[in-house]
Amino acid sequence: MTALSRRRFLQLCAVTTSGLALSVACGQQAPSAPAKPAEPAKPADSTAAKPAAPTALPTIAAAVAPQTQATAAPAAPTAAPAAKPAAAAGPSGQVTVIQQLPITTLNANMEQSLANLNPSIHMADPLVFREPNGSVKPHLATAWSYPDEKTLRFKVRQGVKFHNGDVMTTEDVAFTYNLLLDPKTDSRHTPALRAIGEVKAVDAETVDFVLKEPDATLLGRLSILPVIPKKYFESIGGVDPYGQKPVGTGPFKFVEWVKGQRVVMEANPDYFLGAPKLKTIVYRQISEDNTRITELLTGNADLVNNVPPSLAPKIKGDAKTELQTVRGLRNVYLKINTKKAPFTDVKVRQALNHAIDVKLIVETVLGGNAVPTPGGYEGPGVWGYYKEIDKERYPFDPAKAKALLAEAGVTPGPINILSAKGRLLNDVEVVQAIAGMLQNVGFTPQVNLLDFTVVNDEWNRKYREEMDLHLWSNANNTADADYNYSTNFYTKNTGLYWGNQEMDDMIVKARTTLDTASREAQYQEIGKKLLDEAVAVPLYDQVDSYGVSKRLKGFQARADELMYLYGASVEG
Amino acid sequence: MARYLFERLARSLLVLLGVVIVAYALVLATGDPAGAMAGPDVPPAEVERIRREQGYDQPLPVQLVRYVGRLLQGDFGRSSTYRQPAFPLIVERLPATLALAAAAMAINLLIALPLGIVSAVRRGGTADVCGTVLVFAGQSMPVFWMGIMLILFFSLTLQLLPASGYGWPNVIMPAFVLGIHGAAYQTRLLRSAMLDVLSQDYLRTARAKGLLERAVIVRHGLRNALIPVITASGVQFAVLMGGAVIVEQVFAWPGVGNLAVSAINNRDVALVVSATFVFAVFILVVNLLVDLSYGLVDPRVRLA
Amino acid sequence: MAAHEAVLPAEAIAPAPAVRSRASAFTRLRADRKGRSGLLALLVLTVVLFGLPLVLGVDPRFQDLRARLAPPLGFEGSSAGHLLGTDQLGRDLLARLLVGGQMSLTIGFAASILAAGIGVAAGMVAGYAGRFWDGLITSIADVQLTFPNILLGLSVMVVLGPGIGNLILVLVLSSWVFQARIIRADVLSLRHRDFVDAGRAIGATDTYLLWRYILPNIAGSVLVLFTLTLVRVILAEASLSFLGLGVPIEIPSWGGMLAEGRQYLASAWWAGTFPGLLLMLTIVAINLVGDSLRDILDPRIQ
Repeated sequence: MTALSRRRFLQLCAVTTSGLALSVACGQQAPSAPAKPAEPAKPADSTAAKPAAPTALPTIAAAVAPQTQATAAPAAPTAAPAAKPAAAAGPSGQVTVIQQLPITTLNANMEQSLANLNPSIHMADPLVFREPNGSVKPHLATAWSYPDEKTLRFKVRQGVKFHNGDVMTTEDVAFTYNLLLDPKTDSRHTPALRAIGEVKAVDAETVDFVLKEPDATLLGRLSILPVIPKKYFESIGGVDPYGQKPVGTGPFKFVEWVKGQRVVMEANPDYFLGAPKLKTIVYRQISEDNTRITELLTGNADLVNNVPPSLAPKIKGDAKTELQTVRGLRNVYLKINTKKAPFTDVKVRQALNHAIDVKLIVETVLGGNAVPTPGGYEGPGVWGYYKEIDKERYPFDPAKAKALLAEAGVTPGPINILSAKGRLLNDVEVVQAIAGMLQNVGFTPQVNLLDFTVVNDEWNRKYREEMDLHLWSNANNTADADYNYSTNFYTKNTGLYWGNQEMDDMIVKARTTLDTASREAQYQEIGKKLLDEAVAVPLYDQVDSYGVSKRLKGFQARADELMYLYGASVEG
Repeated sequence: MARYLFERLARSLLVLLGVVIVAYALVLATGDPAGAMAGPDVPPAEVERIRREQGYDQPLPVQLVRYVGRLLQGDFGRSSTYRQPAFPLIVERLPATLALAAAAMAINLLIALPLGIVSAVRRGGTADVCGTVLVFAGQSMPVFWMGIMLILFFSLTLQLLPASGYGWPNVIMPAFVLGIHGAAYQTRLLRSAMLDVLSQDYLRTARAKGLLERAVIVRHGLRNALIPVITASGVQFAVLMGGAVIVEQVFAWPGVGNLAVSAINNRDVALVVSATFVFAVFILVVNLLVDLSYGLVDPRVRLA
Repeated sequence: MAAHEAVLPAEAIAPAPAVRSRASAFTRLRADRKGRSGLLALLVLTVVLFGLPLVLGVDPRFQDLRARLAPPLGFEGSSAGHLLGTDQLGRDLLARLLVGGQMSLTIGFAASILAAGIGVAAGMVAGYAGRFWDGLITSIADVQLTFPNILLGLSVMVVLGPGIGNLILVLVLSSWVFQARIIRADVLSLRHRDFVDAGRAIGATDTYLLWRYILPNIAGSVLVLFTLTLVRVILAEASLSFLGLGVPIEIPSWGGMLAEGRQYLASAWWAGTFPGLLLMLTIVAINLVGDSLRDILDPRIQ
């Protein structure tokens, strides 16, 4: 062995470790202190649209009628803040938003994740903008029409600038959506745009969407797909780099994205609808509920999403914060494997419906953060929802459940329930509560909890097909009834448990009907039929809870989970 | 010596390769990322298309060979979650994990050193028993429980420390949780080494020479007892570098562990393999250094 | 699940192998303060966990949604008949703690014994059978060590499906390396000792040497290592259950209860705190016994 003495070795170790520790300590970045504004922000009239009564049909109905012009005025911006130059100082103040899920890309057109859409929609604008009540209004497009059944024509606003100074033209619009139609782009939205064949920039003011088949749901879908600048996109190197440093026409400009820490954006004073009142928005991510809510309560955050019911009282009880709840578009229900005996018998399925006390689950396990929807699979926030959604077709009645099972000649035995965990509000508890109720009518339930990606995976399809019951949910991104029905009750789509040719035809017909009244009636029929056949056990609409600091003014929680801050401001 | 080094290096490389292959296979064995990439509510035809495009429909051995081939050229692949090259994503998180690990080690030693010495010197006494119980309790307390309790107390109630984020003083609480957790091993280690050293003849000689007990302990005993502690600290540091996952999650610390878990959940193969690779490199390097130091310091252990 | 333990010097964790009698170990264990308290605690725990449910006739499965998250008796809002309160589905917390404890201890012991068996065998082979086997086993151990346990747990449980048997498999897989490494070091240093050479000189076969000469002298290590493995395994099971990869959800387990109670720590602290406390108590008790054993078996202590 070498002649290294013990003493020398010890000294070497001590020096290296302390050197290492020192260098690390010096290298730590100081946290960027939130800049408290010097001048107080002047909150003008709040411009956030108050949600209309949920049962009102959206104004899209008027626009969809063939051969008519859109009723929206072409040039006047309808949502301009009442006092544009009123404030002496420009945009001011900083808002910190903490989301539960991480941001993976700042190009909203690639993924379906709301965690990505929330920051992106502030930096880039879509052609049409969705109101909190689900209706769609002009935004980058000033008007739209259907010259014929297979063409959707937009008039594009002139003179809008991207953050880098380039002017937004119809070329950019066509580019954005043709990019999404290309499977090589690998966007998750591509399948939903299947009705579009091609997008053409007809002239400087007009863009035509050439459709392969009529699709009444397109406008809703386009409202979450912002327009990208073609020149900048190509110069920066394509999809991946664009998602790291986006440029759009939005009210806020991208500043920085420190991975794992924050996304920062600041006001765009030349925004076409007027400069925003806020100067800076910072996005962070904390997955642990306790920590996220604590940051709100200590003033380090102004807005947090996904407040669990157990922590809601803390927010309500604090003088500096308030809780905003809104009935969301996510509907939870229990799928039944109708291909497996004994669930092929409608009586058995009805028995299952009678066995489950949804009201009790909502009241206790969910702490009231849900609204039971015994009549169907979509709530009033969705256009085309089944009007008798609140009526209990199969009320909670364990005795009746047992009787029905006996009638069907079925002795309740083992039953498998599958659920992802951590995906829905308290899903682990809900599924166990359901298991308990099934046990009360004689079944021997076994609960299988799996990671969401496993449940969703084709590879592990056996889990889905061997299970008897499956706790599932549907988030209606487009606020249009077709979305849910096409995804879950259309046999060609997801190989669902229940489905037949008749229902398939009904769904397709409804989707391609452009006459609103007729379409509406068709959806009522669909809703009734699904209920008659007891295809599943409808449960509830989730209620989303947001923690808002009282210092944040003008924020309105939305059913589609978007946290839009254009009209918001802060005081102090 | 050189031959030993060479053998060790060769074996380490093989181990690295093995780790990479096993990681890749394991992630894919649980289902390919196509389902995760597609997201919910996507028709199976689309999932199938993704699978074919990314090459996940090939049999596993074929995929492995292809992946290793690219790996040997330095290409770890693209993260399916972040749509970016995977390896840089891991590397840019390293400073945060390094900082947390260093701070945790500091707290660890701050607890373990005095406790270890005292329990050795006064073996069986009250301090020994109480200290041991406390340290074991710290090791067995659920990490998230301690973390959340600290946040609720220091951030919410007392409003003294920030609950999350990167930097100073945000690092104090997560480092404390991690440090307490590992202090048990260090304490036990030091105690044992001190006992070893205290009974040695040369200490008896020092005492016989009339030196003060304290001088005996510190000057002669402690220095030698510290050797295994220092080497163990190195190893512990490497382990901490692997990312203290739950702590990073609870405190929203932007380290590697945080990223690795969501990568596993999303079946983001490239990211998982990159993270595993970095972790493995650290462990292997430290293992090698530790083993080398044994050979240098303890002539009884023959390495060759 | 710390990987570093396996690379520590053997003597720091387990007593140096030496020829000694093991007859008086138990009596000395009882005499030592640490050992005594540890043993006592374990005894009480076992009796309570396995005996009390029989006496009380509790049902850990019965859900009473309206009585969910009731605090322990003595606090405002507590529910009659629930000494320690109820969990988030209205199930009796005490019942779940007891049954969960049975589950954790049983699984812990089973997995530890298996892991010890494999680990000791592997360690002996690696230390005794020559460079090739040593290299092979150590390489496998290295790969295992450098592997993040979460990935291992997730993969195995997903591929094989949930279930107690598979859970034990995962636990054994992630724990055998720890023992193997230390036993290997012990055997390596024993191999060239005088008495072993002497045995070889008089013509003893390798097997004979292993069984009669080496094994008895590492018995002390094995025993101490067993307690350490037990601690690791119980904590690992809790972690896996915490991540949802452990015991199936209907069966109570301390780890599962910790996971379910996590979101209520700020409001209904009892649901997530009691399982944690019991877990800590168990681990501390086992550690005390193990520590005491090590002291007793250590030849350097007078």
